[in-house]
Amino acid sequence: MADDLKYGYKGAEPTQSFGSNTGVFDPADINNLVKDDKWTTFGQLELIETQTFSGVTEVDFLSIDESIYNVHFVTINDLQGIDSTASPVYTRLSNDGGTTFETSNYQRAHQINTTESKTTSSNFLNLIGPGITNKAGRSSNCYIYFYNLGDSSKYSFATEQSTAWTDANAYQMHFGSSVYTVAETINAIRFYNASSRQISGTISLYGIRYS
Amino acid sequence: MATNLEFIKSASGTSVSSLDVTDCFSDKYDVYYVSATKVDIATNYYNFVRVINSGGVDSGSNYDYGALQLTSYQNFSQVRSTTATSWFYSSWQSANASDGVGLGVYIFNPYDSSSYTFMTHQASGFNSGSGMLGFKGIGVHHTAEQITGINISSPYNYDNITINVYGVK
Repeated sequence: MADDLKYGYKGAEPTQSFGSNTGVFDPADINNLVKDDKWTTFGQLELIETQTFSGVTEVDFLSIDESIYNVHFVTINDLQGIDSTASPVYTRLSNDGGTTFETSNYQRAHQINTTESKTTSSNFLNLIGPGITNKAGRSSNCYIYFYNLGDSSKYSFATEQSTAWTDANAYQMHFGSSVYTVAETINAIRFYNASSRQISGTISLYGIRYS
Repeated sequence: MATNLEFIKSASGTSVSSLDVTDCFSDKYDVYYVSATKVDIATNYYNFVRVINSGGVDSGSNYDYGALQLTSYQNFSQVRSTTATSWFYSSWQSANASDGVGLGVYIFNPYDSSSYTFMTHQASGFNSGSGMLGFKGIGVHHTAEQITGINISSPYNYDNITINVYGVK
């Protein structure tokens, strides 16, 4: 294929974009288009990182590709405590790559079974695990959507839902919405036990492309 | 089992009160994910969600919804209707440009002409002067017809709005 223009074209070069690739491409052309984010490849739920952990009090995601994704999706599976003392797990956001995590300017509203939980002054964003311990078969499982983390002109929003069997031998579901009320770029997320107790589980962070 | 999202289409507008995403639904998918995040509006209000059929945006009384309005600053409230002209309580949008919104909607069976079109949604927004205002809800467009697109609107102009549609594969 001729290669005197980008993507191998002679003469006028067709406009290339996701969902609208025109022409016959050799591997080098495809590589260039992929590099330029102009090659149509389906699968826009893109895994950024999975962490499987045990015996830690906090799990940090320090590279969240916030300049690429405006919507992030997180799954939390089999979240448990390491010892027998029940305590919850929360999330916080960082604006300095995880050097520090913000402890104020959060607001949230959660429905926990039949009970409302709300505050305009929270020190964490999400509740992802209620009173979890090391009792066999009892865990919290959850998903979260984060919005606008990489947009320095917007607040950061989140919605979530969880299902859990708690240390109290009771089923607990919760869902809710929350916001970090500072318009700035967020570039790291922390999942942590509120009482610095050790936890185990698996957390996966995805980006939704073209969001 | 759904394994991934496939980007279908995006639509953007400036200084508009209504935005269509046309021809985004097809026989290729049964389930769709719709997100709206980059939204600025001139006056605080709800974002309405409607479907697009062969006649355009359906503003008839063909929508049912039930939702819980979750707020950080007052008691939660239930909202519902069986004769609505839109999925009214999808999300709340504040005029303050820094506020924005996070809205995710799942649409089920829109292209199947023999089925109603169902939706679930969850949103987080900000009500200026009060606090966080979110929703979790369900809805149905109770007409068995082929739906080809989706519309988001408000009585007030959006300074900017972008909607993205994905197929759930």
